[in-house]
Amino acid sequence: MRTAYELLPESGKVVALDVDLPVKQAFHILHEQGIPMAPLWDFCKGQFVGVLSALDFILILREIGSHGSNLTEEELETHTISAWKEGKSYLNRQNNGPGAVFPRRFIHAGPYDNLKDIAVKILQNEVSTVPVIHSSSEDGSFPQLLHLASLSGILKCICRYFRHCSSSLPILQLPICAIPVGTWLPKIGESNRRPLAMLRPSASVTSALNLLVQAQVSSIPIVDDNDSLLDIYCRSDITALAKDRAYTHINLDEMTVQQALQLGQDSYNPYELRSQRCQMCLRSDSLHKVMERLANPGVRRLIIVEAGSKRVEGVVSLSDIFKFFLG
Amino acid sequence: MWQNESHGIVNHPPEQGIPVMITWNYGGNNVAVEGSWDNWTSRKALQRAGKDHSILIVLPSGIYHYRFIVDGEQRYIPELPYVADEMGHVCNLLDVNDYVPENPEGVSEFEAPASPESSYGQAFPAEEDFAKEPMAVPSQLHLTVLGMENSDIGSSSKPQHVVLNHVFIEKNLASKSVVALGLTHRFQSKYVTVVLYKPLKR
Repeated sequence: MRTAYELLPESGKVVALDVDLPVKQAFHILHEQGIPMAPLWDFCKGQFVGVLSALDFILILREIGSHGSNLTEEELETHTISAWKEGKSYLNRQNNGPGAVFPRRFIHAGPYDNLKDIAVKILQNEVSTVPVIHSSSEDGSFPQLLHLASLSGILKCICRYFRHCSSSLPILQLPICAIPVGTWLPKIGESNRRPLAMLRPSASVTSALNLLVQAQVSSIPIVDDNDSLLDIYCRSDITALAKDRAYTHINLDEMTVQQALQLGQDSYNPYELRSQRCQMCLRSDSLHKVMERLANPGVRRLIIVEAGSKRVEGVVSLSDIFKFFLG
Repeated sequence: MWQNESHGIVNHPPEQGIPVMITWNYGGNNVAVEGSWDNWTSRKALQRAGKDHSILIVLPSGIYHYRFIVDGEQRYIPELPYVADEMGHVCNLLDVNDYVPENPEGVSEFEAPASPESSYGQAFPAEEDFAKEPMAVPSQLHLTVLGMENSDIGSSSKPQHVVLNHVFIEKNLASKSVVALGLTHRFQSKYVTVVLYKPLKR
């Protein structure tokens, strides 16, 4: 049976953050290291207690942007991750009434956990990564952080299995438009389908962040007036705003998505081509080909476009593939 | 020998082949093997040495299905991993790894050496201990694990055993109040470097 141990590379590196780090520096580290999230270590408890991700940064930005925030700029410099997490759970309880319980337990897995169980854990908790932690003692003390398991890594294992014996699963050869997978633009006459979120480059960053949170997606295709694909705005792009003091001085209502993407490209990875950011595929591509593409590290979704015009037809993501197979 | 299939398999960059030995120890006169590495197109004859038959095949990393043809009959090895398809045909599974897993039990360096004769205690260092010059770091430990590339794209090279279980500290040049602690340890046959960023209290 395939376990999480298989996901570990022969030699790998994982970054963790002390939960007492100021939030601002934490995001700076995420951005500098080029990682979208990191597990949080609490020295007092001697345990990993959670993760800090791009979604946290988005929520903080929204809170600063809204006039309900009572954090001054100096407080932002020293506001620690643990204070933010506590405030967040308080906010959740406020928004959802005293009866609602939002136990954001720390979701993690062990190295001998079944890969299928980990995939299910990722989908059910709606996270993108699950830290793999090993403790040699019964009570879980002295935990060792081993790896950050993601659907991408699991898919890579699956693709490795099928690459040289794909004839054993005929469905892999079907084109993706023939399979109920992904989010598609509804055809005329079709109603009550989950709408495909898209934005123009002139849209404000605030609207992008709101859409990311409300539609519960990790990225939004940026299209022109003809619905042709120009670029993509991801949840992880938000960490580009962490450089310097950019996020405290810019007005997110006035900054456009195009400007925000420019900011990210200038700073983080000047060699990252536009083509690497927006991975595209055709509706006629086979499921196997789509899975192989998604198994590449860093690729979380493929935008389905019309050949030639690059008009956006849909999006198929890692979680879509797993939801399809796991039912 | 590696052909591009016509039905939708993605072009990969040519992968390094890994030599794999396939053996059949159950007798027979003519033993051949066929597998999913070329979509069951060809049969390769095994070389006979007494009752054992074997063949060396070079394959890219991955998982393959294969079976034996022993004197015309389809056979598989029940002691090795095998799988049956929906038609009831059984074949063995071959898992080709692109690295050789370490066998820690076989490495004598992993046995802890006996402690040298001396006096040990658990007292905290006192002021006078900090006044002394620290010991020189051995040259093998000059290579800090904190300088490693971020390895979510493929794996970095295997660390030297000598740096395992040593804590490396790096003061962040950009910010005086954050420090990075790095530690590489071995988990079974794999190596993990954990870098923890911690605030420096004034």
